[in-house]
Amino acid sequence: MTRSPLAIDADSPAAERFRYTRTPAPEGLRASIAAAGVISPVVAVREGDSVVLVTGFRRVLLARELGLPEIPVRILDSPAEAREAFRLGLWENIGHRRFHPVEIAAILARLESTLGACEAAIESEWMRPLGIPTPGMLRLYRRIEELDAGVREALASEAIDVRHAEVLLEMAPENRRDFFDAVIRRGRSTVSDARKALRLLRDIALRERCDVGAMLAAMRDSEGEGRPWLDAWISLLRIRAAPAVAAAEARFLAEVRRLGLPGGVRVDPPPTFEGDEIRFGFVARDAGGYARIARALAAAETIEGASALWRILREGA
Amino acid sequence: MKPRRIWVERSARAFGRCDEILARFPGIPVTEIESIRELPRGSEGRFGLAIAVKRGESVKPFAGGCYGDVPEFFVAGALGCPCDCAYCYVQGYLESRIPVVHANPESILDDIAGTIAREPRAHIHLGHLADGLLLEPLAGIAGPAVGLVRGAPEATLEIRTKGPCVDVLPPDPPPNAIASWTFSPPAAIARFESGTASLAARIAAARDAVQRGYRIGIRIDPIIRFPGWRAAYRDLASALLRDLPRKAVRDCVLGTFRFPADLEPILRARPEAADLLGEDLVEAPDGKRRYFRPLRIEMLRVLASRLGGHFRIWLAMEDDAVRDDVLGAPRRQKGNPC
Repeated sequence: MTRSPLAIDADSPAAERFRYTRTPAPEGLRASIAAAGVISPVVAVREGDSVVLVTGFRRVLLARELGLPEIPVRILDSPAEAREAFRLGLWENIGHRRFHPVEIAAILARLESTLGACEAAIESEWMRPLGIPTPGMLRLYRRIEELDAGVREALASEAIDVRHAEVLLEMAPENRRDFFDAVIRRGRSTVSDARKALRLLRDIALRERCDVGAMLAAMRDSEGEGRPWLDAWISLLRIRAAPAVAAAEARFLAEVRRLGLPGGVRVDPPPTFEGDEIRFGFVARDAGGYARIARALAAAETIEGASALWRILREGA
Repeated sequence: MKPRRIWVERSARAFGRCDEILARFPGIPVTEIESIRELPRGSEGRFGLAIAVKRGESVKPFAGGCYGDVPEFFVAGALGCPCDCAYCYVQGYLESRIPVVHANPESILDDIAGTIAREPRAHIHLGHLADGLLLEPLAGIAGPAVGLVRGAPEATLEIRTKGPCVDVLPPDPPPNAIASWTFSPPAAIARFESGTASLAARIAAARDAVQRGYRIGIRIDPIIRFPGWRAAYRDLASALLRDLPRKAVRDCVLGTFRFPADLEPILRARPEAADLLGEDLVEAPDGKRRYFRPLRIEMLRVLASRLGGHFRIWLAMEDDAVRDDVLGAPRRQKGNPC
């Protein structure tokens, strides 16, 4: 049977039960439909006076856009047949398409609401084919629809990683938009930096009994963008979140400078000042450079001054 | 404790002890379940009680020990606690907050006996996943375990509690059965240890234990850096020196607040979060979050300097570098008390 694409309901809440993508169709599909029309019939279900689309959303929307008068459509008569067609259509798409995170989230929601699949069934039957590696990630994908449209758009265009969404979902809903705009989009943060920034903001909120939203507003109102801007903010946040750590690190650096070691020498405290192992390293480009460094390291004032470094490990600034 | 509801694993019905426990709580609603995995989640659970069957090994190696080369173990007997300490790591271990006791404590006691047979020098901690005494009237482990170490003089049984009552401990124990208390300043008890006994009640209980023949352990762990911490812990040290019979104190373990990373969301959600987490915390090499090292050293020194002249001091979950800084290198000997 053929029918005008305008006469197929692809937009109402009834059709939403079966729709999981809003991604524009690829150029190849557009060219194919423009040249040869819709070849495989789309599937729809009769509901009262309407014919509600079940599979073939991208084809119907393209046909409308291209002004095709009619397309082939297979019309089903029962909800059970429609659900089965939806299930088969989904499997067909899984076989040849890669879904982006927002589509996966929509699919998971439709599996529950349209097919009545329970959590265990989704995990055992659908999780792997949808490219979700672990049950933990499955839980994350199921929450993506909680994020606002701007974030979902960034996820759909793969401008941000699904792990960014995980960071956003860890925070209060009222702060997500500002965090996304400031830290993720404007600061172009990696997932790891976003996580670090969130932890620092939370630590400061606890320590200073202030609101994360107010700090995000200050970031929003400051000049600049990109990684250098975000790095500067993270440095500032670190000082506020852990002032004793920041002061000890600064003092350590100052004491290293005071030693007056030659340029090729690096002195690093143990990570987070745990343990007593201070790492001294150097690079020499020739025998003369090596001799300069060796003399500087062995000098009595260096040895005496270095004891201050271990004292900072124990006592801080 | 008086639970509002009791959950019973169906298989626990086969043990007489299950009926004995239920008989203590006439009129309390009872729900049968297949497994304690079905227990409801949520913090209100601590007003309930579950009776289960102990399956699997009950005595496990204790990774967080402080006694050097002495092999340390903890007893996974009763689980959970009727108290609600804000910092408690058990919050992260158990999905349900409902305390669980077992209908077959003899299985747990067999495991303790087996451990002592394999490791004659074992130091066995009772009170790791549940208070060592608060559930004892129902758990039935501490009393018989004291008997188990009577014939194993090299082993040590440590029963750790925050409780106010030692009636359940058998009198005239062997010298290697230790009753230890977590002592905290009153301000910390009020802030972080909801539902536990007061400092005065813990000290009184420790004195009672001494009367019953026990050597006692002082455990000040976790030490928390809350506003006014320094004076609070100084006062605590003074109170312990004043009120405990010093000769009966076997040793003193100090430890600063620390927690595994996966406990953090739970701690952050608690109303005490600002006082608990509002300090310089770092991620240590062992994966736990803890106070920045100079802060820990400062805190430990406040107590070690007061108590060290009177008791043997050990530091919980600290490396040699911190032990040296707090106790002084000459006083530290691996595997031996300082």
